[in-house]
Amino acid sequence: MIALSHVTKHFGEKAVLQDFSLQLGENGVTAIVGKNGSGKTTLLRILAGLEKKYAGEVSTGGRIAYVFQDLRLVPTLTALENVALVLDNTRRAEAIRYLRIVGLENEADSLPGKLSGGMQQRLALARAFAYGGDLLLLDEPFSALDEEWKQNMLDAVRDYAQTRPVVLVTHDASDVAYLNCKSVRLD
Amino acid sequence: MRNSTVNRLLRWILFPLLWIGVWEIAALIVSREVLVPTPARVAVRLWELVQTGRFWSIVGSSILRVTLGFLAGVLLGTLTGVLTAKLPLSDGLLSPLLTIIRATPVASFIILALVWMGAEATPVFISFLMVFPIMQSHVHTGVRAVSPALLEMAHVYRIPPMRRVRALYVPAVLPNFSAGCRTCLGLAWKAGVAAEVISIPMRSIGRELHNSKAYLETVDVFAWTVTVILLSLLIERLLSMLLLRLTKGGEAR
Repeated sequence: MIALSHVTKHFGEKAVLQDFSLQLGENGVTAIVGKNGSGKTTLLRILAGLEKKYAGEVSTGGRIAYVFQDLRLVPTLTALENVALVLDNTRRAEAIRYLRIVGLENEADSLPGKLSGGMQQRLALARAFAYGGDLLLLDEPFSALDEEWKQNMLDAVRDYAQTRPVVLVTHDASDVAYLNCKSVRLD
Repeated sequence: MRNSTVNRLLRWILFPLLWIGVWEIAALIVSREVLVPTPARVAVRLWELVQTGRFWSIVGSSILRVTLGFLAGVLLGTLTGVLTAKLPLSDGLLSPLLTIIRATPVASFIILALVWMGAEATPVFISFLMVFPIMQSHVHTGVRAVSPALLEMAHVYRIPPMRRVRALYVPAVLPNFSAGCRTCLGLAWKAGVAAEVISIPMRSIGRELHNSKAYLETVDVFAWTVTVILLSLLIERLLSMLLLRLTKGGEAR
């Protein structure tokens, strides 16, 4: 069971999370909403094991896929190589399949710097889908997508969430409405 | 004629000819071969030398010494650079040693090396000593330049260490590594020959320079110096081609 219990996190004097608790189900999307600086990204970083100093209990375990807000694609690797990077050697040939899911199969040999912002976001999603962890963390993953691709990606996330939990940080209420998912507000 | 052709012609033919002209005029003004021989006289002497087997044996031995020192410096400097970048404690530990190596006059090291390891090994050691701290510094900077954000991504996705090295570290370190190698080669060559002049090992350019100076054969000093310059340019060119292939290979991977 993935859960945070009474978690408090400070940056200097400022508490970004105060006695925060959350329990994720076996599957489904949990949306985290709230204004800037309310601790949404910090919450994802704690779940990903990237923040070590906090009070409270966190249990995750297993493999975690994470679409970072700043994407973190490797600039010297092609789109295909960026996806293959997170795959086991036995599965590396499958990378193209995930590029197809996000509509980037014709950009397999392109470097991330040559792709548009929306394409880069789709590539980061492809990498996360390919990794197929036990938990998927999404930090504003649709912000640069046009309407058509946003809907496609929301559908892909909904499909993905049928078998494992997904935590989605978003500013867009329509994402929550479309996914018809549980949402948690951080203030 | 295109601009680039004109530039190349100026850079590689006309400007060098201009400086050879300045040398010729200086030799004519001084008019004493023991001080400044004419370019033609040096060229003739160099032509005489290159036709002997002894010349190539001497050149080969000097190249071997400098290359050994250079490669040892590149290897150890690279390993140390990685170590100091990843382990702050090792950086603190090695920092005084590296500062001493950088600050000590090369002549002091040559004399000490001569006492410690004899004439044959001294030029190798001195070339190594010139290369080692520069490569350490370049590789250290390259490793530290790897994006912490990408390292976090690699941590979350549990990317195996060797794949992490290939995908994240090699592209970040390669430009610094190449620049370090280019800087070091010239230094290794100059310091190596200087060490040969002082330690005078058998079959070495340094020994020939030393003997020519001792017998006031200034033409020979010039001829061997021209040899050093030409070899340095040639080896630098070869290294540049090798590094270019390596860099392109890194990008294409």
